[in-house]
Amino acid sequence: MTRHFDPVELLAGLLIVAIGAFFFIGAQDFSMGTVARMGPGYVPRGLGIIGIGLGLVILTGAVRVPGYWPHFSFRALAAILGSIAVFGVLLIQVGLVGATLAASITAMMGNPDAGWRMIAITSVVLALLCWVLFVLLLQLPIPAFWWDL
Amino acid sequence: MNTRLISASVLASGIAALAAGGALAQEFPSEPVTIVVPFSPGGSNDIVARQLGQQLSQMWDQPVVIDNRPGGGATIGSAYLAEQDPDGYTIMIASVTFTMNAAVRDDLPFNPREDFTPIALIGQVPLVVGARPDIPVEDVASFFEYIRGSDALSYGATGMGSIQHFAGELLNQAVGAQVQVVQYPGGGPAMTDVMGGFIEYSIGSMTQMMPQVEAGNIRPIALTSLERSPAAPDIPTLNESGLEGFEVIQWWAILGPDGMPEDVVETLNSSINDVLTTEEFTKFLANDGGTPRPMSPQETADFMAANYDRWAEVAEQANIVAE
Amino acid sequence: MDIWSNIGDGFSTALSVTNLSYCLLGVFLGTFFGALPGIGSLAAVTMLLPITYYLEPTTALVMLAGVYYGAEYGGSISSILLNLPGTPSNAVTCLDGYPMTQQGRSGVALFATTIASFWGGTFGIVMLYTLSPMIAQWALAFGPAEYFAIMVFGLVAAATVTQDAPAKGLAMVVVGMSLGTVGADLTTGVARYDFGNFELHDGVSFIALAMGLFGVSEIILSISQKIDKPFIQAVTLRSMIPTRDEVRRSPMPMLRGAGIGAFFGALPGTGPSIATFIGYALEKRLSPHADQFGKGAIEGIMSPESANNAAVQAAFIPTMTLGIPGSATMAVMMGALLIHGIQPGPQLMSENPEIFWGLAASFWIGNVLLLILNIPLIGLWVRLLKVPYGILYPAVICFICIGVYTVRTSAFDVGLVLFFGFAGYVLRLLRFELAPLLIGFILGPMVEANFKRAMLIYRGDFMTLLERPISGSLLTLTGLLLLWSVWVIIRNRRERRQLLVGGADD
Repeated sequence: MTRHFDPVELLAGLLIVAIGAFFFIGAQDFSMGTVARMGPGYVPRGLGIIGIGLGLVILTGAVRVPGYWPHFSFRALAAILGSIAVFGVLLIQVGLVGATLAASITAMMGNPDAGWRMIAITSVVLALLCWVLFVLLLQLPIPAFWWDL
Repeated sequence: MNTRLISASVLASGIAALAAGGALAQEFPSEPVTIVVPFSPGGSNDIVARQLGQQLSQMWDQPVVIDNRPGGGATIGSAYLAEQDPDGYTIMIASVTFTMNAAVRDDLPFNPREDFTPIALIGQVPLVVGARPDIPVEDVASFFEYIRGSDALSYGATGMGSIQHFAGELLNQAVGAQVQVVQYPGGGPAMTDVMGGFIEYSIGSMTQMMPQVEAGNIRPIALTSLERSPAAPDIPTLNESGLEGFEVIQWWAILGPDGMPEDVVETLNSSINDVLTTEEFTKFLANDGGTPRPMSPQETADFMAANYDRWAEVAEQANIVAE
Repeated sequence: MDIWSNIGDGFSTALSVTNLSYCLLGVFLGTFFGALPGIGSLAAVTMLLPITYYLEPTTALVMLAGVYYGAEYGGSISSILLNLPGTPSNAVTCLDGYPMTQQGRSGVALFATTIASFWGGTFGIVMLYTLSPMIAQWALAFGPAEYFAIMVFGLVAAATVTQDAPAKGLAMVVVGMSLGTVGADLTTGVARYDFGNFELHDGVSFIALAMGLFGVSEIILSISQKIDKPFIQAVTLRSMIPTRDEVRRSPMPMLRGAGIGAFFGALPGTGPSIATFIGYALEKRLSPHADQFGKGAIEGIMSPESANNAAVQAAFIPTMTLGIPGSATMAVMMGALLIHGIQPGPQLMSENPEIFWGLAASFWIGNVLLLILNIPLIGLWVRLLKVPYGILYPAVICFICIGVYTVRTSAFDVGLVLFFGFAGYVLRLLRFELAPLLIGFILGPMVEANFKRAMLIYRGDFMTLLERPISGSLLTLTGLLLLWSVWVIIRNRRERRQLLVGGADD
């Protein structure tokens, strides 16, 4: 508990200012044009400025209001994002079945209650299910195994 | 990537081939052929590739897989093709836009002239200048007069460096007009603004324009091909209406990766040309006012080279350049 | 042309054994795939499109249309039960549907959805039947200026959906619009914010964004809070019965929702998402129970669901009569027609009447099937999602990845899901609403493009926008709405400070 500012609103305001600044600075590479013939930089620049402005408005709301720091869960984040990354990389390396299997195992690492037996059974069943549903039944053009690549 | 995968669309022909029983496999193709379509399903490239693929599949007794790899205005699909083995089992459909892109963009991740093997030309379709229904003109000559006479007019195109944009700027140059280009995300939206009278005209494919022309929503002014189209013999061409030599046509070709063996190119070329001369394919193209244009691999290469040169020149004169 | 004989012919086409069975199959598969968390209508239609290549054109379209609205309906099931919208248009349903689930009232929410969907769908189909030619002409009165005005109106309405913190809602809209600027600029061809990735030239993949922001971030939040899904309870017929008060409050939002949906659906290029947002925003303005919105208000389900399905059906009007698809899903459907050699457009009704009227009839039959299928089958769909969360969530992750990959055959888009999953998680920790971001992303590029077009056509004369009757009145309305929001910001801040500062001093 902080007494003099609300950390959530503070971070929220800073994030929006940062996003606005990112788009505003990035837009410097694009020409502005005129109102009649707007260049590619016209709208992004405008949005960047409005974003920075709104971020500042949010920041003013953080002052003199008590609040809590947000709770950041690294384990859940790493497991879920990791599983998507694993899927994306493996899909084009070893095919759908391997990618699903690995992604499922990675994702389930984020759940502290999951035992290895549950992880194994779920992942194998899921990989087979995806294979049957998407490759065998729907015939989607996704390679199932590495020899299909 | 998935040459061996049999997609649902070709499964039937594959089974049919098996059922026909032991037709002797030729040397090429001995396994399924993939045609990369660098656009989403449903566009003109996709439909032409599917028709061609279906007929090739029957001829070869081999499945032909259509692999849609859209993105970046054909850039993703073309870059993908350039990386494939040049064995003839992965080929791609390309259109006139491919050669236009080369003229306006300097950021392509491949060299359009060097990294591909031209295999065959498929066919060509004229574009039609379609104007709003209440445009105050009587014929092509008065249309030229009208667009020359005002600097407050606009026409619709489908993006910087699109075929419609090229055609529009060429028309401006040829007539001496300054009609303002307005870009739309596709031929359909551009057409609705013509129908609603917000812009004067757009230069689109006959496939899209003709139904609206027949419904009276759009006034056809002229075709952009050298000769009139059998699908719409009443519509004059710009070429015959005082702009001699004016030609902007949509065409499709089949390309492979660079370094393909000559005999494979020859085999593919003759198979495709066989398809082009079938009544089925001719009729298919005629629906859209198009005609097949069989060429040898060398003629295809020359044709494409001529296109690269021409569009580079037009782009420079009309200042069509990506910034 | 006698409309009744056309309708009669349409129904006899649609009621043929083949068409009826494919309609049923399409509706069933659509609901099934839509109910799978992470797979929305666009992914479902894309996945099932190849199956229809062999079918007769009418049959193929009947089946695909069934998949489309089945998936839209199925999407609301996973929205309500799991807070995982399968489609962006379902994102609004989450706002009040999921709180109802948390209160143990998912049966009521699902029942309300079914009824509202059916009514909205029926309304849209009646429009399709009676007003198609007229609407097609009327839609032509919308040029760049009018589209610009209506999109701006939609944006501002969407931003104020989050009444508690309008500044944060507006900020999300602006972030969404900024993300919408990524990609090649239509007029100049300049690639904006692509960092050398050609995959970004066509813009950020819409499905990847939606799935990452909503689906993935929801999963991260859930497992970090170790929720073992205590909320999903058995849904019996009894549990679907709404309270008398809810019954009384439902019909008007449903009627208004259908009207809004049919209006936006019929405009080419707008699609159902904006209709659901505006329907929701409108009910929130009109309702005497505005404070209950976001906490399980029945109006918050009735209006957007009715609007969604009315829009889905009405979206066939521009697709079939003008040949202009209103949404990405419609573009795939139109591709299906083209593959079968049918050119949608003004000629369709005269040249292929059996297709037009047969489809229109089958849409309604499909909606009846949806109703019959779903009231008794709600229990089955719920059981499908009642799998323990610890087993369900890895499956959802895989479905999301597969769905996103399939739409563009692109592993890059899977990477985008990862990025937006992270972004969504951070934004939710910071108490941002994500729905306004999505609507900003959808409408932002349209606002920009139409503004550019209007300025080119009217040669930079901004006053034209205000002088044209339709755009002028819409922009005035938008201005009033903005002023009102600013006032709410100031008022809320004053109240909140008094409340919280006072509380902290105790």
